Amino acid sequence: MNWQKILGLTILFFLFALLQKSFLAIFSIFGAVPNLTFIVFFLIIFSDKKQKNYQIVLWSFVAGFFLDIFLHSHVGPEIIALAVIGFLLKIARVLLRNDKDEGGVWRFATLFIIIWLIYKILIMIYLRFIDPLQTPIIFNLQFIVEIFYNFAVASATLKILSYEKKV
Amino acid sequence: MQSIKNFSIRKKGKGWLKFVIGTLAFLFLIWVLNIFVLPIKNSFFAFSAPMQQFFWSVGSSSSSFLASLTGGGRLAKENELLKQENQKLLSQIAALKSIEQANQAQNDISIACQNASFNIVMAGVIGLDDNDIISINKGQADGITEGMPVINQQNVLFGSVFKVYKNFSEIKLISNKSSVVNVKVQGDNLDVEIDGAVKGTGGLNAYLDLVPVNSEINSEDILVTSAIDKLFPKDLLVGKIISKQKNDQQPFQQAQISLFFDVKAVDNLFVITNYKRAN
Repeated sequence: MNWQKILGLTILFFLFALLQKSFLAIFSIFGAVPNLTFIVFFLIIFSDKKQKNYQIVLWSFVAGFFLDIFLHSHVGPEIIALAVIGFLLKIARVLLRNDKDEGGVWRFATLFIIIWLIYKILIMIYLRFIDPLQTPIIFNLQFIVEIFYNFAVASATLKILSYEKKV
Repeated sequence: MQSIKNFSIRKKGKGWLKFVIGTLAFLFLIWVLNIFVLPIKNSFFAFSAPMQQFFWSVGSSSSSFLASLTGGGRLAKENELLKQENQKLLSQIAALKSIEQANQAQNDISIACQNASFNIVMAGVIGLDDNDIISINKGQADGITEGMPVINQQNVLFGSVFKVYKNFSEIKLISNKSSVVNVKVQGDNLDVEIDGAVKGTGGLNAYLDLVPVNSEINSEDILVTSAIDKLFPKDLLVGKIISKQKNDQQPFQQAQISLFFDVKAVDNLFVITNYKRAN
């Protein structure tokens, strides 16, 4: 892993966290906004089977740091949540090691939705018990729309990246 | 054989030790960052504010542009003007109704005087997150403190200051899931004051709750702040009732409401700095 990749991805995470809070917030659907930072983090871990542990920690720290700065009162909830799901995703990739493309879309969809749910629940627990606002945990329309909105953006991003790889 | 076993046990042990030390170092780093979270956040906001403001403006313009493509440019503009005018009129009606109901001695207080009694700081909106919290580009250095009410130029209540940094603040909108605002329902019957509470549900939405079941509320009734809790000045516009949900076996009825604030279309808000809140 070279320093250009680290710098490039750091800037990308920063820009995406910024966009989520400003530009994309205006295009929310029932309050749901695509979490681009999470999506890029997920795709990094998902697409590289040889991801080392220290790389997962590094990316969860960088991505989580920017999300915490722009979205939460404390630094840490996003970092810890992303670290947890980063390692869970790695374990899932090892357990599902199958290089065939068959069922790839369904595997991606299932993994993404499960990982997204775990991530959201971890953040909701922080918001309810640790954040000063003590936001109640409510599973409403916004929660459901968020899953599909983020999945759609993640799929589109993965398609674009796969197409670029082939080209 | 025994030596191979011992070697693999030692290797596993070292692996666990590395994991524990790594986790502790990770958590320690997070703890240290939290000690300096205020200056770190303020620096980040200061650095990124121009970009955030730019993206926010581009987003607002794109949103208006897209709306004009789908709904007709002229109609979108006209609609916006009518909305502003409507809110202005509703604010005046709310103040006048309140004066009538309270039977105040000073009936010659003008709307302008009432509004002019507020000391306000104008702030630009630079961001919104999915917990219904917006960021503005004014902070402690501009005299803002936690709990101050935030409104727009039509006296529509947006929320209150939740977190203050040196140059920036975060505003908890009234649609935030933990927000509760005491309101009064202004209908056609001026003799009866109906109180309730607007509770946020997230997603820029809220609902009306805690209205006594025997009170008569109707759709299109206007909701304004009641100042019972002294968290917000009275007669700030909150929303209007869309439909009511009444169950005679419950002590309170609820209602679906439409909030007056439009976060996505706003660029500037006003923080009321001289309203004395209850502790």
